[in-house]
Amino acid sequence: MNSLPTKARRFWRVLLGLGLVLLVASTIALWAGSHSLNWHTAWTDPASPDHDILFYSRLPRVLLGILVGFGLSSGGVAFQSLLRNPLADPYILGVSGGAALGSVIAVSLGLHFTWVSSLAFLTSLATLLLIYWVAQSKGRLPVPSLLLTGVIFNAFSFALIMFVNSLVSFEQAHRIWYLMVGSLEAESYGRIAVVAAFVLTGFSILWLCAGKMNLMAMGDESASYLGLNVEKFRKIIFFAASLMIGATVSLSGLIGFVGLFIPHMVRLKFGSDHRLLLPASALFGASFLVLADWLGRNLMSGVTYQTQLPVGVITALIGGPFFVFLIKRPSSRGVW
Amino acid sequence: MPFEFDQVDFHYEEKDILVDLSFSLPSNEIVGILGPNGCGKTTLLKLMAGVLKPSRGNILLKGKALHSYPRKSLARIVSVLPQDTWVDFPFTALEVVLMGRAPYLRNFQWETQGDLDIARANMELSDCWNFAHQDIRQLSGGERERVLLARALTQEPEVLLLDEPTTHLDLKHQAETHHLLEKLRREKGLTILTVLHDLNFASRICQRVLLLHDKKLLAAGSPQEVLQPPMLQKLYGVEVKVLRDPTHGESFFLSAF
Repeated sequence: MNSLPTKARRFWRVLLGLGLVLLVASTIALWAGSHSLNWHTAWTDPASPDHDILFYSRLPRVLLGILVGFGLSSGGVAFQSLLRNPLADPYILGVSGGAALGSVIAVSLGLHFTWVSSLAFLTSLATLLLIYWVAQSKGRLPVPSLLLTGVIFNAFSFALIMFVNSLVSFEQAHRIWYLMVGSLEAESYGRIAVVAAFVLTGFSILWLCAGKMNLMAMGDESASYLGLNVEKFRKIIFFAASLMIGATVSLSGLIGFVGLFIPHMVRLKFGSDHRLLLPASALFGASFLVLADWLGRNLMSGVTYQTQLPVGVITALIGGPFFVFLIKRPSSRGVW
Repeated sequence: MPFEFDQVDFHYEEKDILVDLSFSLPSNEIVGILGPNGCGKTTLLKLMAGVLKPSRGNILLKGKALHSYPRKSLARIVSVLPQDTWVDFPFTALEVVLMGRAPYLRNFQWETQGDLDIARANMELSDCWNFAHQDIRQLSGGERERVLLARALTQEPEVLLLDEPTTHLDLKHQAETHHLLEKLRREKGLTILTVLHDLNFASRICQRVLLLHDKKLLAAGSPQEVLQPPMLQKLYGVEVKVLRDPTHGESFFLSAF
């Protein structure tokens, strides 16, 4: 059982399995809902309401869910390797807040969406660098100072966002509100494509050096001894992680905890090797978010006729208690 | 001649840590680095591993400037067992040891059966193969130390640097480490440098010892020459008695307190 070719085979088996899970999740989210869809009509008759529902409501949301879940989960993995902490999360550590601030500023200036994503990337990179710089002492990243810095940055970004919010038009304020709660409102395919380009670039960079992320996870000192140029590689992760988080947040807003608990669950099930952890988290996160959004859309539809729960609410409702469970479970040596 | 130091200084934030070190070490020896706490032993090891750069002077590795080696090729010549063995992520012991193959692998290359064989052989050597599939975070300090030793050996280095390799080990594993180091020197031709506190251990296994005191090299030579009461008094600031076993001629060190 210990032969390593087995490990490579297992790798493809796991990814294939998770790919199938994603396919099933997407099919459910496309098909089931308050309006039961007739596939045939939707496909053949462009004038039918079924066609509109499939192509202008459900499909963009599913694609968006896949993209955002993919980006947040693999971004979370990158964060955890960078900060040497299996439970680091861009949302908790304030980097998503920084990205949201950039998006909000770009939205309030009425910029084109590509610029919204780009600015979100830059502000998340800036926030990440600042947090790293502030929390670091003597080459270490003590968890309390990391957490505290995250809390401060979150509070500060939110204050600035609220400030900007008070200056803008009603329509822009509505968009800002959606960024704050985190939702997968039906978006244009153009915007989805922009974010897909950002996320896939970041992901490809990281996946190509997944072996180096393993070394990085051993700590700076050990990583150097094992032949990694730590300073150079750290810059690469900073860049790639910000690319993924920034772009994702600019599209879907603040969706918390996904970057934390998806990689954690994948680690428990499939181990810590980043060559598998990174893509497996991305696929699993995509399935999770598609289903969470589908749940948000349909959970309340029987109760009132117009309410949809933003997906950020669902992830926080699941993620909050999960986080508490991680801290308090008997086997934990203190999560952080 | 793996290591040559030529007038090496190291400062950290305006503070002198090591001053004017000059020495050269022959290959295929076990060299002990001894000295009181905070005398710069770990810094010396980090200079040799190339993770710190000297503020002044030159370090040569196999006749070539140490800093001219790319990190990855350096990791094939020099490997390190660090003092801090904690791992934050739930890797299995085997996965940690296999990372010792990283200097030989390209980006995104899976380890081969050959890599696994090397890892396994080294884990058996350092007696940690029986928990190869356990989460490294669940292991004790001594067990982790053996795993990281296996990782350092899996790099198949020519020079092995150890930072207090026996601190967390029980008596049995201390003795085993002793035999293992001697075996590695003899059979694999390794040069081993190790930071030590245990004079008895040092006098048994080392062909040579370096004494560091007050940022400087106080003495270097064979344990029989160097580890003498007046020198040890000067090194540690306490009186050390040396007893000799009349049958085998071995020395035993006792601090008088």
